[in-house]
Amino acid sequence: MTDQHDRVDDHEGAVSEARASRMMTSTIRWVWSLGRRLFDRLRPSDADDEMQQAVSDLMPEGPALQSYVISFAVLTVFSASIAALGLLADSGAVVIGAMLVAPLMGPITAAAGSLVRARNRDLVQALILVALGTVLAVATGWIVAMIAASDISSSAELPGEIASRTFPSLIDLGVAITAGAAAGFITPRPSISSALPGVGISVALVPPLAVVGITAQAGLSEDARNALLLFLTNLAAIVFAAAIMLLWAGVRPREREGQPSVGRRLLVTMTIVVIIAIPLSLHTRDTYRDRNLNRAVLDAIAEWDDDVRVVDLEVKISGERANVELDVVGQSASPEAWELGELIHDRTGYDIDLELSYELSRRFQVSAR
Amino acid sequence: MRRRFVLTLLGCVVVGAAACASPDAGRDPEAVEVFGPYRTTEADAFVSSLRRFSDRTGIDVRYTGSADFVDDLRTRALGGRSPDIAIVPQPALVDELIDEGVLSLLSDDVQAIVGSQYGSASEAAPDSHGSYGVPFRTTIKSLVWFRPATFDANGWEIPATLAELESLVTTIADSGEMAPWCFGIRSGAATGWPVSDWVEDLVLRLSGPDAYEQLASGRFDAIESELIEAFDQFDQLVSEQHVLGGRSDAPTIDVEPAVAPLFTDECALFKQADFALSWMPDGTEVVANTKAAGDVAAFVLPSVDGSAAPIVVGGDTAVQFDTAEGDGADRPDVDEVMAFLASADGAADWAAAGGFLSPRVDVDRASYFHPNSSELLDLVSDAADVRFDASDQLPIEFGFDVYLPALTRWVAGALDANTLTGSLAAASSPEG
Repeated sequence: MTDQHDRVDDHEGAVSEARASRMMTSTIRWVWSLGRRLFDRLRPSDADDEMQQAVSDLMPEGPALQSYVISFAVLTVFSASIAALGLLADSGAVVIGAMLVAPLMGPITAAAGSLVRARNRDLVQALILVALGTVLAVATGWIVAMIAASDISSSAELPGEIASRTFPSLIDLGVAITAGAAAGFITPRPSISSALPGVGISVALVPPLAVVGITAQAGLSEDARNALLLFLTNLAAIVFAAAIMLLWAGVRPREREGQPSVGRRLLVTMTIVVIIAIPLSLHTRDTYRDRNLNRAVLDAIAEWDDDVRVVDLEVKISGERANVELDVVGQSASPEAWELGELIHDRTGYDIDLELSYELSRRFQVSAR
Repeated sequence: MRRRFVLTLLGCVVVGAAACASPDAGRDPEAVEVFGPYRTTEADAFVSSLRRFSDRTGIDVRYTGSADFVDDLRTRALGGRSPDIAIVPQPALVDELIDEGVLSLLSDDVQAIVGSQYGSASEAAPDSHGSYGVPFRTTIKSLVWFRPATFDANGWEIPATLAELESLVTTIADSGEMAPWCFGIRSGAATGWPVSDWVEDLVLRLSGPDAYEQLASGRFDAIESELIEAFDQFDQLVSEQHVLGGRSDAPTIDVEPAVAPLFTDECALFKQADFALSWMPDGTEVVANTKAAGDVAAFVLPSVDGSAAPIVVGGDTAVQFDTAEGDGADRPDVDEVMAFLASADGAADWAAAGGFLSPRVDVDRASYFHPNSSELLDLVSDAADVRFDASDQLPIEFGFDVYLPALTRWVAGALDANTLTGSLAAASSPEG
């Protein structure tokens, strides 16, 4: 009897499972077809002449190219100088100004355009210009830092605007992909080109290069490497995303036989993006962990004694253990380091090895009448 | 604030929740608090057994170790912020805590455990606090570590007398290959304690047990000539030129990492207790009192005439504080932790990790990470005489504020042996 009941239950279960799976399939189909309709409505069937022209105009050809290169170089130097000075002065507004002057988006979008139109010569030309811009911007950053005689000698002394560009993360990759897509969307549509400067500001191509120059001049090779990683992220992601958007807009090689090579090129670009994303994602994970940990340690210090001033804090993690090296200045004659160790352990959950240097600062208050 | 939150959230989404969660943050108010001198790798080894105890019993234990353990514990105990349990290497500090009335008597169960299964090393300990303390760890102080391969390659022999040790040191120094000694004595408020170990060993060898007991009771005025003899012998053996980096720099070198150059053949000898094994590279193979194969070996600091040398031992005692709430309720969880520390399991993980010797005779010798290291225990049972660390018996304030700082200044070259002896004698005389 029970057995029969079970079988009936099994049968009902099977029926309801089949019904659920049918519903799921039809929902997926509906969403897919809605997406297709939306996609087709937005997508022009093929790029019209005006669009093709707009992509071609990204980089002039023939005699006009020479004067374009000269103004490109001059603008890059100006932009990188403004960026470097803004970075050293820790002024966000000046750095944004530098991004508006920066001409690097031109050849990068042109590279994306050449990629989807399978024009090897244009692609190489655009990449050479990007390389030229890169070298000029880094060199300008270096020279400005040298002339400004900045006395930066350690990562801790970097102004905020510079330091924030030595922590590339997956979020930067996200910004670059979105901004690259926007550039790819805007380029073939000259009527909305007023939005292009916004793209330039979002991805910030020149400031990371200026940071590479400044940090390299200060001898901070790791920071310079990180800033360069940020630039390469932006570069690869913009080319990739812009190329996808141009393809979607209908920009194609003139000859049909060029099409397979477009796929190959995109694959190469995508592979580069993925390769860069690996160190970036590791870097992002570590950065977030370290930032959270540093914040927890600082909170613990404030709870321990909110009169102490933190001079230096270094946290190194190995497995479940965190080594905390801490230099503080405070006013307690007998600071209780054991209690700070416990507070840090409580807030972070790590096994803590604390190395505390406590410098006693004495305060005298006098009134003379 | 909001921006930071959004960024953090975005970061969590992008990189996964793992980056945003930290392991077991937060304080457990119910946890049994244990305070002690073990830090870094020793702390890891100590809590390893305790964590398994917590898993089994559900009693959480939090351990905190400090290089300024003595100062910290006294401040806590006198300030009404005692931990539940402390592991104390200084019998004098245990006496002080008993006098202050801050300790709690061991439970009957724990006293019953302590009444059995202990070996000769703990018998040397001052026994005034039998019902307050659990002997947790034995340390053998009188050892000199060396590398058998280095000795073999240079044709050096283990010295049988202090004179032979002196000539070995001269031979090593003359070879120009390496310095005879590695030596570092910086250790927070206890800086200088390795020098006090040296002095104790030399007084015991040169002047015998009576002078040693005067030293342990702080009667420096009664043993001035014996002290000068020991200081002079130390100056001969461990002169400025005989120490890697110079003897006067020893106060700037931490005790633990000072052993490292032994393994790079920058020095040939390192006088330190058995627990120095914890500071040696992972996987170091040890052999006792021999030149047989092994990465590192130890001989007992020899006697004057080649007879069996006496041995100085130390020991860490677990004590329980009277932390019962106002209603005087018992703390069965603290009793359980004490019973665990008194049991053979209490330090099983540490014994297996190396650098630990248990005073209990029922700890299986094969369970030690270096089964050979348990032969060090035989050195104690075979020794002509076993004495407990004298400086750990000195009144705490005298030991930490007068004796160790004075020894440190002498090693650094800021005091000569006569001035040192004079000032110690003056500080220890009943009138002084």
